[in-house]
Amino acid sequence: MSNPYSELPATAFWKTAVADREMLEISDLWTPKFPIHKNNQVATFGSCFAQHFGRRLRERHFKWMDGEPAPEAFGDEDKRKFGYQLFSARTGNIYTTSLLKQWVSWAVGERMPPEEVWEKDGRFYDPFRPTIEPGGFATAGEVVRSRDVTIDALRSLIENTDLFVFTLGLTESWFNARQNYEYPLCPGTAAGDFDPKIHRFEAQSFETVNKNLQDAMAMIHAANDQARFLLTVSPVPLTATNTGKHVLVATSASKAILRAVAETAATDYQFVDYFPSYEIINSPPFKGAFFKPNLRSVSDDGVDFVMGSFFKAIGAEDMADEPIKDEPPVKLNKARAAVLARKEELDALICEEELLAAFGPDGHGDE
Amino acid sequence: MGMSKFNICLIGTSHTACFRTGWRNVLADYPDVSISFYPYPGADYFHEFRADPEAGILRMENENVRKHYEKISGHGGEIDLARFDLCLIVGEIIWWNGYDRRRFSEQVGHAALFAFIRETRSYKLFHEIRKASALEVFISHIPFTSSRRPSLRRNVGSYLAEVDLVNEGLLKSQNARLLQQPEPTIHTSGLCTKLEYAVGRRVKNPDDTTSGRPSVLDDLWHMNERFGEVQLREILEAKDIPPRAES
Repeated sequence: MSNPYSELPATAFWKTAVADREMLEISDLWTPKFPIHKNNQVATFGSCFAQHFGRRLRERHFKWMDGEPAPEAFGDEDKRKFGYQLFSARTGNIYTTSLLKQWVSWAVGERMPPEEVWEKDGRFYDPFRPTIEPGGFATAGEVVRSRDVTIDALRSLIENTDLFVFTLGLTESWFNARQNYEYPLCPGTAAGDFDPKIHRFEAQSFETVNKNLQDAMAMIHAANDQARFLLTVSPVPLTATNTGKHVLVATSASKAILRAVAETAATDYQFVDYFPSYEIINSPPFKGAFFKPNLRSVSDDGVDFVMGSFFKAIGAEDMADEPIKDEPPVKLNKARAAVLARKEELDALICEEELLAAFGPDGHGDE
Repeated sequence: MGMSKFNICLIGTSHTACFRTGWRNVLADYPDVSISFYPYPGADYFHEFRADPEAGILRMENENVRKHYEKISGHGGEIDLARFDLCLIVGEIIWWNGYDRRRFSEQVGHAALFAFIRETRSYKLFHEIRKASALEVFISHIPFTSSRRPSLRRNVGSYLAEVDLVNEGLLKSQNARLLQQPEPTIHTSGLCTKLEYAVGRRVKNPDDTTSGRPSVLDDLWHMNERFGEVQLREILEAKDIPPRAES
């Protein structure tokens, strides 16, 4: 006699999908709800783990959106140091859904960014991106100008993205109690001074996290009704908790809330999908093998496996990783190319003549 | 020249020419200075120098360039760095365009300047030299193009500050220096070289024969002997080498 389980695929059963397989052969963890193409404009934001997403998309030559490009001369090290290309704009980590809502509300003009700037030893820090500028900004005005550049970039990204990838990272957060805005890091840690009269801690509930995500997505959709969302949950445990609980227990609670919020959004909306990077790293069948020795940071092998699963699921697994190359040069029409080639020849001629005039015919040798 | 007290090795592009012609004007004032020239058009060849750390030699690996050295200045392709007191790298860096202060912080702008310098062929050649020698190295950028109409977009003050920044933040600790273009040669109202310092002499453009004969082109890109003279005197002054009349 048949029952609802009798026709289900192998992936529906633990034995065939997990227990009978080698760890690295566990596959088909995700079936995309909507197609993701190489020519889709993809913006990536969120907690640390989102950085891997952006980087791997660039390596595979997807149209990863760089809304706030670094100075041309910057190499990878400078970009990393100053927070360029970590995310699609220079927001720094957006750990919580409430922070996402806050950034989006500034970008779409629903709220004005606060004027708060932190100062220490003559240097100035952005409370909303306290580590974005190592050693701080030169002036308070520069902090605000730089943040405005990022907000403008975020607005443009929101208006033009096809796919907004967001990695949910934390539920614990710090607020300005008087004006009710959120800091990404507790004041007094990376920069600023902690004041218990001003700074308020909150371990956000499922309801709060869920509402903030939905509000943020609604604002983005109002600005761009074609935008789709891909949510992930960061597999990286908390560095520290202020809840009074053991950090392992607090991590579990936090990730459970984030996972449930992501599931709710993906279930409720056709334009939202969830990609299981959290499960790939954290599930017991993977035995914690993808963590580095501190049991917190994800190893390169782990990132490879996660992103390999992603690319395979969207049908892009055959596009081998390649070093990032510069954009191909603009194709010139033949006439223009000929003119430029001739100009180069002329420049070479001028340079050669210049040297010959200086060093010959009597100018042989040194003096 | 007999035993010299101060020997300069000059490696450069076509912009070396003004140093060569300028040197003729000043060498009588500096009998204890000699310059060995290693010029070649363009800077694409800079990366073909290889240091031999054990021998203290900088070796040019490109046969064409070696032949050119031989033909134009009588040198082969091996530079014994121990023979010199100073190495001067000339004419590859087209000066930085600055940064957009609306988009980037001052700190990011400065980091971009350092990154720009590090990516130049001159800087990479300097590092190749460093593998074989602790010899002091001066780097001279291509002079600003001469123009009748100076650009008002950037001023001399910001340019000089940028040169200072590179020296303090990047080169000084490595016994190297980026030379600023001599101030008297720069238009005070913009970053271009005064017309009187440009070669200005015309070269034939074989493409344009509308009059039956090739037309001629102005050269406002290379500088003349007066420019070379001014810059050489500044370099020697920086090394505390006085001209003979003052010594």
